[in-house]
Amino acid sequence: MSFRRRGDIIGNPQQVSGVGVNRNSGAVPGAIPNAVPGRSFPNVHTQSRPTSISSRVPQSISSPVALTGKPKDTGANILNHPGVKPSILTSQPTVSTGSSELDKILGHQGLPLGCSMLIEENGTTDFATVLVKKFCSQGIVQNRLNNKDQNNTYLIVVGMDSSWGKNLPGLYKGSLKDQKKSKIVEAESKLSVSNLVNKPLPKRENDLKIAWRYGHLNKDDPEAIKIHNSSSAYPDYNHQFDITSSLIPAPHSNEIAYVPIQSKLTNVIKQIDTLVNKNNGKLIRLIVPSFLNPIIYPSTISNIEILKFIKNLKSLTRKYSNEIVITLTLNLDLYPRENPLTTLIEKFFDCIIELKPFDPKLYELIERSYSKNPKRIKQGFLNIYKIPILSDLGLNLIKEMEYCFKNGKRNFEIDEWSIPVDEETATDNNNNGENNKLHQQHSHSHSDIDIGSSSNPMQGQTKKNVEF
Amino acid sequence: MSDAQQQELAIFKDNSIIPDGLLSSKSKTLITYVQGTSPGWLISALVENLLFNTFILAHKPGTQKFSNIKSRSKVLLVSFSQDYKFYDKFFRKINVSNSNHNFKFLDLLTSTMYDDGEGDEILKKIETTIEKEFRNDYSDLNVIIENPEYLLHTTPLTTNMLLIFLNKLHLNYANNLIVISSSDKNLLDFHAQEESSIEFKHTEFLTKFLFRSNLIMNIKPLDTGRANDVTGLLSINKGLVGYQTDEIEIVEKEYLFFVAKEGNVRLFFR
Repeated sequence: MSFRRRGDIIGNPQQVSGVGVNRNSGAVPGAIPNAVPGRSFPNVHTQSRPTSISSRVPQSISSPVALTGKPKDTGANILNHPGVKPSILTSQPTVSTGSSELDKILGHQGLPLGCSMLIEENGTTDFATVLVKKFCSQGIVQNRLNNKDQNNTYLIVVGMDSSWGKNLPGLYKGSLKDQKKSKIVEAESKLSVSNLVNKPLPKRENDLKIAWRYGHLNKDDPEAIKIHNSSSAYPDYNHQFDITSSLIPAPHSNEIAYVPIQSKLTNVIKQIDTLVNKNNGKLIRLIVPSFLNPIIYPSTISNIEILKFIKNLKSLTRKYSNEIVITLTLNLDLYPRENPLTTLIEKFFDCIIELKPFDPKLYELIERSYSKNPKRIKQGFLNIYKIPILSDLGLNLIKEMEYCFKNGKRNFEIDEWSIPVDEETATDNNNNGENNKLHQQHSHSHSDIDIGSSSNPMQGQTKKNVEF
Repeated sequence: MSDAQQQELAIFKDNSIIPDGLLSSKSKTLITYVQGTSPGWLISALVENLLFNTFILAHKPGTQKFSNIKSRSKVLLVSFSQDYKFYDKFFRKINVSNSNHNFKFLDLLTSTMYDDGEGDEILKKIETTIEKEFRNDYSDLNVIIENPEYLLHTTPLTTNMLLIFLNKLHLNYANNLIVISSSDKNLLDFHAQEESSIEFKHTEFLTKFLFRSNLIMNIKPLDTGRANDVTGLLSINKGLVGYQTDEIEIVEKEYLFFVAKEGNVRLFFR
């Protein structure tokens, strides 16, 4: 705590710097310069991307004996992508899945480039599609950050038509209250006579009246805004999506491609390969929703062809390790985890999560238990079987029934699972316990009085007398 | 767990991983693993031991000068499930790369994307690589093949054809043939009848190779579930075929192992 003299002018920059809050140095309270804990980047107070990332990202290596068709190194371009940041575990370039909570449990704060994710789902629900659509929306939103001519992301959707892309979730614009507020602010910012007459005092002055010592940034000062924005070195890394809204405008043909399923899955791979080559330098998000769903995939596809397709998807991730991320969803009702085909499919993925909706009885119990706190009600277990890179290193990261999820309007919540306690039963038990205690005390207190009362015809009267 | 508990990996009676005597004789080793315990660290340990007769569990930069050590044999690592980039981070620690004339890596994951044949042409690539890279000097060549069973599931190749090829490879080129294969319980069914099914082919391959192996190793997670300080269990067992000399003897035992996030491994006697 420090104090000013009465004569000092408040807001004098020279004196402010002497008090400990040096705005010129960017040391603004709350403006943490590094998005990655424990890692410092030079020049993070500017909007430019850190220059030191490339030195920490694994460089291309000498080619192995039979590595054919290796694409040219596009790592440098990708590092300038607004949706790429280094993994906090391995420093490898990582992209967001479109769900910040899913990013968090993957350890890397996202999915490292050159990795594939398998989302398995039990039952008739379709939470996996929600995640996959957010994954797509994230790519489209990042693609639209630049000018129309400078596309940085390309989506490839396998097995779906263009109608699928029209239902991607749009950006979350805040609650209704926030939206109203923003409309008011927008209206006020317009140049009109009434706005000029009723122009309120600058917000900063109000802030200074309340707590001059911790005065906020001057919103009109571009330098201050610059410093404020640097609180996150990767402001466009991930966004929040509202699943009740749609992404407007819908993805254009230069942003997304739909690869139909053909009788030979090898042709699908060839088509994907061509598209990736064609969009060299862009970040490719490859999506394979509802894999092996009989409505989309012909029943005549053999296991060999299925596994070859999956193996080739892995080959693509390795071939274009600096450009591509893949997400595939599989319904476990059609292909349970005990099925050897599913086991082999899992072998070719870098990351595996399973969405397992709660059993109806368990869901009832949870609803009953958290009736007073409905926010705690979740919808199912989220099991993890593989984490990108770490599982391949040999770490055992299988986590079953350790996390649970809830699909909300604006985010896909993931929490640690805890066994719900039925509050009513617990309360009843407590009440019963107390009643029993009271009853015991009561009967005990009466025991002296009631001795021989059974033989006393005036029992009721006696009690009354005692009570009175 | 403290450093005092740390143990060294020893497979044979002379406390070695691969004894010198084994390098000049023929042997087959089968390593099986399941989901949750990937064998990358064990494969790189075997490569290191075959090349330099060392196995440094926790590599400390600068403590070992592998460039000064003369390699005692040649190694070809063939992988159907990983590319070279994956192993590069292991091999950099021991100063080994694909340009090293005693070590070669053959990537059969990315190089076989558009091979539409019966699978035998992929096997042919292994032979071609050996002949090209080691130039008819196979006297001290060791071949490690990771997940050859993937060929059975992604091509029409039969189990017998694969086993015949492995036998041929062992007889003509490799002194030590080490095969790494997955053994998840969903892939194994000893009562499977349908020959084209995944479980039939997988079980047939593992069983037949197991009966021809001298050494069997298995890594799997703990039966009691995941632990923060133990990754899994490594068991070492004698194979169903003995070694040519009595001097080479396997000591059957089990280790608990822990893989850290940096990839370093610690072993503990069970």
